[in-house]
Amino acid sequence: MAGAEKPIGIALLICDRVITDAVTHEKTLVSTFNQVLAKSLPCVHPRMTIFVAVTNGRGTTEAEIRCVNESHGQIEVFGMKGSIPFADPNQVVEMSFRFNNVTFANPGLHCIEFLCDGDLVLQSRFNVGIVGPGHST
Amino acid sequence: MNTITQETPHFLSLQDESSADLARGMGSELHSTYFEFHVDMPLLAGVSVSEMSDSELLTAAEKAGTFDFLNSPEEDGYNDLLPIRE
Repeated sequence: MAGAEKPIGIALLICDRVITDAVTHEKTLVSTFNQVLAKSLPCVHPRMTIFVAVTNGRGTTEAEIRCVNESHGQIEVFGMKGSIPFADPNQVVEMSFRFNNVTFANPGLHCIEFLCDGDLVLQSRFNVGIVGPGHST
Repeated sequence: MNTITQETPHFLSLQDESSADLARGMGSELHSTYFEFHVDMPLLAGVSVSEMSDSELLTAAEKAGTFDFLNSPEEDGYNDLLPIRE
């Protein structure tokens, strides 16, 4: 038996910021990255933007975005929840989440997860490491 | 300050179209909506904020592999610009 249609993930990208052209409304993702290096931990990353695009949604979908540290027992670093209203399945919903002053307490592999109605739709990983004399990433 | 903004759907046109046609998305059933969320995370007590020095930034960039592209074979194409030493 076929299950209910679920939202389809199009993109999840981690970058510094998203610029919107004032005339065309086109988006430009600036400084994509997959590694955060600090002199010591905990560290504060001043700005982190996550661009997400999903489609094929029906009605209102309960969405959640969260960052977990996979190297330290799936500790949640940050996250937020909300509802996405889909007018029809052909609608593409694009979102950018700009988190300021993100604190990373532990090094290791981190994962940004985007869930719709509790189901994992998109994910992207990045590494948090220490750089300095005697340290390696 | 945490904010949420939403843009109205926007459509691109390669030809001159009337504004009414543009508003309908030029016959396409595809349309998009853009939401922008700004979240200010609270600074934890005991976590000091300091910027890296230039040398520390360079070390971090090197360790992150920023300059690894210099080792790719394509970069050898610039070797003819080097002075020939006999």
